[in-house]
Amino acid sequence: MSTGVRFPAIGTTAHLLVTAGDALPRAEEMLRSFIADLDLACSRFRADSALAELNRTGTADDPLLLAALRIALQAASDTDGLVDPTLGSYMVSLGYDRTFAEVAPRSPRPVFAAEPPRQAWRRIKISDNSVTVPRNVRIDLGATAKAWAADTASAWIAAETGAGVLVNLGGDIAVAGPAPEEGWSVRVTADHQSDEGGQVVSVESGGLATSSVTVRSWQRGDRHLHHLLDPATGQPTSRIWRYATVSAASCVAANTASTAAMVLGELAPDWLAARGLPARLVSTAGAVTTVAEWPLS
Amino acid sequence: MAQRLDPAARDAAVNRVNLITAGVVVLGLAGTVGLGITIASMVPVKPTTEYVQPAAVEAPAVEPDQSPAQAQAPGQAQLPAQTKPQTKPKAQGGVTPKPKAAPKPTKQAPVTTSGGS
Repeated sequence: MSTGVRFPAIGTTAHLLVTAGDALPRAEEMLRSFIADLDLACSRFRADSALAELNRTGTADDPLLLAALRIALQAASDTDGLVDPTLGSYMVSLGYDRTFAEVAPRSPRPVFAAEPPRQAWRRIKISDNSVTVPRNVRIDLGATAKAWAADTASAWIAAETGAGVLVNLGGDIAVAGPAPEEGWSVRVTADHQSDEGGQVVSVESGGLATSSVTVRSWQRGDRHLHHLLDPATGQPTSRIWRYATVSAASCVAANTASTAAMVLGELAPDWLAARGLPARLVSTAGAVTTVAEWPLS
Repeated sequence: MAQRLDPAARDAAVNRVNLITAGVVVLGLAGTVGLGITIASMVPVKPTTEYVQPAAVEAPAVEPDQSPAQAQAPGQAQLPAQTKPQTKPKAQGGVTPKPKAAPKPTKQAPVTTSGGS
C-alpha cells in the first residue's frame, strides 16, 4: 500500500509515492525543494536560470547545472552521441523556443534548421567548478535532467525517511528504498497522463523511462514536428516508434536508452538487446516489440 | 694461382661447407620460430565481443489499446526490422547498466504511468 501526491512541475507532472503515509509530507517538501533548485539551474525557458546564462555567455559555474551537464555528457558518451545535449538551437529553430504549453500547436510558417554541429558535445569543457561550451552551441538538458532528478530525489527521500519511494517526473520513474510487497505497478503507454492502454508491469528497483513522439508534437508549415531530435540531422527523428519504454539500473540510464532507441529507429531492438536492457517498443502502426526480459502482456 | 687439392682434401672441404650451411639454416629457422613464439606469448589475447541475438525479442503484436482503424491489417503491416535484426550493433564504451531485476507482469492496478511528456 502506498500513498502519494501529484503536482505540476517543470512543464510536466510530478508524481510522488511513498510506502509510509507519515513520510509523505516530508517527502513532498523535499521533492518540491529539489525540483525548484533544478528548475533554477537547468530550465531552458527561464531567463534567470544558470542554463540560460550558459547559453547566453558560453560559460557557467552553477554546481547543480554542472552535475546535470556531467550526466548529459555521460549519456552522450555512452551512446556515442545518440543522446546529444547540444541541440538546443535546433529545438529553437524548429519552434520549440518556449515552454511547451506556450508553443503554438500549428503555424502555416515553415521552419528551417541549419546543418547541426556534429558531436559538438565533445567540445564542451567541464572542470570541477565551471563549464565552457563552444560558440553558437545551445544546451538542452531535456533528455536527461528530469530522469537524473528522479533518481537523485528518490534516493535522497528514501535515505531521509526510510520509506520506499517512487518519483515520477513526466513519465521518468525512479524507485528507491524498500518497494511494496508486489512491487510498484506502473502502466507504460504513450502519454504519462493516460490512464488506459499500454501494459501494466511491476518494478522493484532502478528506473523506468518512456520516450514518445506523440505528446510534445506541433506543426509548422506542412511538417509534423516533435521534440526528439536526431543528432545527425538536427531534425525530428523518423516516426518508426510511437514510444519506447526501457527499464535500467537507474532512471537516467533508462531515459538515455529510450531516447537512443527513438533515434536509432529500426536498429533500436538490436542496440537494446546487446545491452541486455528490458524494453517495450510500440511502432507507429501499433505493433509491440519486446526486448530482453521485458514481460509479455 | 689456384692450388689444386687432392680429391680427399677437396671432399673434406665440401663437407665442411655443407655442414656449416646446414647449421646456419637450422639455427636461423630455430631462431625465427623461437622469436615468433616469444612475441606471441608477449601479446595479450583480446577476446572478441560476439553479439548474441536475443531469443526473447518477441514477435510484434497489435497493441491492445489500438483501435482497428489505427492497427494495420495482417499482411499490410509495415513493421520495421525489429523482429529480424539485420545489423550488428556497434560495441560502445560506457554501457548503460541493466536493472537488477526486469519488470514483471502484474495484475495489480497501476499506481502511476510511464509515458511521454
